[in-house]
Amino acid sequence: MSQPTDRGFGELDSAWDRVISTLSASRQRDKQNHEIQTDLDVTLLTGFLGSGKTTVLRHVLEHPRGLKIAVLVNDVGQIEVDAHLIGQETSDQVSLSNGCACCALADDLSRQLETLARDHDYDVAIIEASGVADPINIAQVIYGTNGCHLDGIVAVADPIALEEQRGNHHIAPLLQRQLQAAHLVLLSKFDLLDKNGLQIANSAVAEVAPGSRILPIENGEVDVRLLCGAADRGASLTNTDHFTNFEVATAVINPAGPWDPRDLGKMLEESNHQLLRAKGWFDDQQGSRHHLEVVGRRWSIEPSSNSPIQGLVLIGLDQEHVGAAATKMRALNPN
Amino acid sequence: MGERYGTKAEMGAPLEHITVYTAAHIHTMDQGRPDASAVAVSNGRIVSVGSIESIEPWLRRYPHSIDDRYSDKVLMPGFIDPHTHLRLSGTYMGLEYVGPIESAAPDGLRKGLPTRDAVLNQLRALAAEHSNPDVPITAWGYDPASQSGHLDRDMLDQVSDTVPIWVIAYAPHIVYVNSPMLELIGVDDDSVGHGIGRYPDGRLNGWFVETEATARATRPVADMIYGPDSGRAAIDRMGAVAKAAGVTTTADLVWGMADGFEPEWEDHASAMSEGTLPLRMFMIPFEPKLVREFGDDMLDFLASKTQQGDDRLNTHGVKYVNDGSYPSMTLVMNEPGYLDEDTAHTGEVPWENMVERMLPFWKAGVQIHSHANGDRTLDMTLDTLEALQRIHPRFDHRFTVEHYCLSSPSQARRLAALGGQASVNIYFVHFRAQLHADHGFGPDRSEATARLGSLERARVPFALHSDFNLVVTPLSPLLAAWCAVNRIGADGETVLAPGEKISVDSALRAITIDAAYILNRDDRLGSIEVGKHADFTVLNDDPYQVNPNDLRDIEVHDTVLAGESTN
Repeated sequence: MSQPTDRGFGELDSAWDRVISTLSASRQRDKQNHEIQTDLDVTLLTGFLGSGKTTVLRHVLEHPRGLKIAVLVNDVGQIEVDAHLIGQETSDQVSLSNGCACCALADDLSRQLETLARDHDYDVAIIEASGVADPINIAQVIYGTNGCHLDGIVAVADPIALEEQRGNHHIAPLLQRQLQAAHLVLLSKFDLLDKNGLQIANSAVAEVAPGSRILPIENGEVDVRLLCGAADRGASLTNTDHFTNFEVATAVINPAGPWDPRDLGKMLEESNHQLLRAKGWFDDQQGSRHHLEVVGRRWSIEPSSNSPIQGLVLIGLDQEHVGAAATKMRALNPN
Repeated sequence: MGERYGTKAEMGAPLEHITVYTAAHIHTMDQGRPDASAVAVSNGRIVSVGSIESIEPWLRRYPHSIDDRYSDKVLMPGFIDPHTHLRLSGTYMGLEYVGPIESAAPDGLRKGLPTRDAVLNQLRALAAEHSNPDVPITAWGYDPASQSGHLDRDMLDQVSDTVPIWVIAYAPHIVYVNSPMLELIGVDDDSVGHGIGRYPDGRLNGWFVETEATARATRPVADMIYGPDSGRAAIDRMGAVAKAAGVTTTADLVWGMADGFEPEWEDHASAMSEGTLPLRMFMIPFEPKLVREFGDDMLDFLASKTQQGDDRLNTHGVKYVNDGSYPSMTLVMNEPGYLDEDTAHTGEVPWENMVERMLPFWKAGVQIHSHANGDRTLDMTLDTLEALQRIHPRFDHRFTVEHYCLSSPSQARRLAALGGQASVNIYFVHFRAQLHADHGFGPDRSEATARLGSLERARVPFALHSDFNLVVTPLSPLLAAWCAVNRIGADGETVLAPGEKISVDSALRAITIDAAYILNRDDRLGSIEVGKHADFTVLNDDPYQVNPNDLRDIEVHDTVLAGESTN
């Protein structure tokens, strides 16, 4: 009775864990079905130790663009936010003067998130998954927690270590799951790469997780509007707004629709639209309003009766892709 | 709570009829009188043990019959697994395994299926014997990468177009279903949603990919798994698994945690009264839940449940969970810590509050069971026990460290000095230790996982348990004994920390009389002695005679509970 030890570390156990969390997450949501308020947007940040997650979190906390962000991490001391920003400090929470906070992850994540959602102190929560955690398990917990909305899973990958990690059969399966689960992949340490190196890293990610939206960043500088959909809440829907530190392209469709939601879903599913983010509201042919949200590969369309806005903002890496996506959407018009 | 179950009236019931079981050999586990060939039983208790000749004074005085159904078998005291979660774990037992690699399961090992065709054949066989078309066939572990491609709706419709089929895979996260399952989920070609897969012609292909879609596909299945009868069904299913492994007594170590104290108790009580749970069961309350639910009345609640309980189902002790698990690498370690990132958890009760939280139970004489997987957690646990001893010194408190995975010899000696004991998960030595040499714990502590030899040298009483829960290891006391005696790693050859091996006799004590001691029931259970409960495990071979390497292969023929065969 020998256990195959060469099959990748703990693969079977984590598969089983995932089955269990899928099952219990589905149940929990059903139990609490009555009125699902999605007050708290939750982003899951995943990636191996040393990939650059902490730098990303520090940047986001220092540049929240008016959002009140709660960052949930294993060790609140690790982030080292600019000392000028630090307000109150306890062993499990550092509060910042800009309304953000860095909190210690509790053992019971679901309960911690429920409390955060109920207290309304923050607009979004970003959870830093430990480097060896399986993001799907945590995503299931978020998905199953009352008052929370899983905004997206974002992976940070170190392009320089990527090859070596892929070759290590102990960690390759987990790396693969992290990249495949991610809706956006941030390639950190962009500044240390030449053009060739970037291409190699891009295709390494694409090979593991085909269709990934990949965004190169340096010094953890990523605009919070790409990390958190809540940043687009009440967005002005203009494309004159400048994103900091790196080039992104935006487009606005206003008014959006009338479209058949099924056609829009089909277009998002099938076309390689390359959008990093999209958010907004559109009407169907009957005049009912729907909410659209895109995070990289992931999208959702939900009926949304009470929004006064009818318009979409699209965000991508270059103008060509964003323009093409906008054109495709406009062409959905049944008339 | 020093009070034991059983009333005087029950103890003193007059003997009416004596049944004598004869056996090829009886290992009594009473060190003073270790061997016998006949045991006399009446009213569920042992009247006498020895030989037909030696028990003759009883037989002369009372009507009796000789039952020789076990005359070519070996009798042991009923096995005791002092730490399981039958109700919790059985919930998931309805899931079939269809993965590519061999998997440990509670009822033994499940073979891997090499190809997609093998998986489809397996599902076909399940569908053929599936009686209720309203209940889906559910399976997990499918690996499209190594089992030659994805499943889809049309393939699964060919397996069955009447029974719903639901298969969950693991890389990437995906659920495959057939047409009847699509109906149960409530999606059709017009449905809108990310991750709902389609054929090129727009027809649904039975795939559900990523969180929302898999959750949507899973909801009907989850409803069934967590339905109102699921706890009871789980107990029945896992009770059968435990019985087949020769277990006659176990304890649920998180009573109250999942669905509450009364519902969980009721499920066990009804299973016993309807004859589907052939075990004695001790319900050990999960402390944080007990405190939350009963506050200052918690000791009164336990006292009332002890009154209500009997010698089959009763409450016992109190349970703390103070770090994470071994396989998920969330236990708390001493220096130099984890090889890579530290992913430890410390549990719900803050460590600095531990003494204060345990003190009311300690003072009331409620036995404390404190989970400690990591060696740092063990240090904290020992510090806590020492503080309790200073505040309120006690003898014979049987403070139990649960799991005891990573430890040092000095910790064993300190545990001895403080009067504590250990209930040890030994299965990881075989199933996981070699993996963790290079993952998480490093070579030293991984090799020395579950130091039974050190415990024995320090004279700490210990038992072996399965913790059968959501960790994929089997529930089998004889396999546990095999792990303890041989300490063979997952590669099937390497002996891990040979100085931590124990003898066959010690290992068998750790699943019988010493396990009873851990649960503070060694006056009633755990050996075949006059006056004790007549609980036996009936084996086809003699564990003292076989090659120690074959211990795990000994077949369990039957168990006897309170004098009656459970077959």
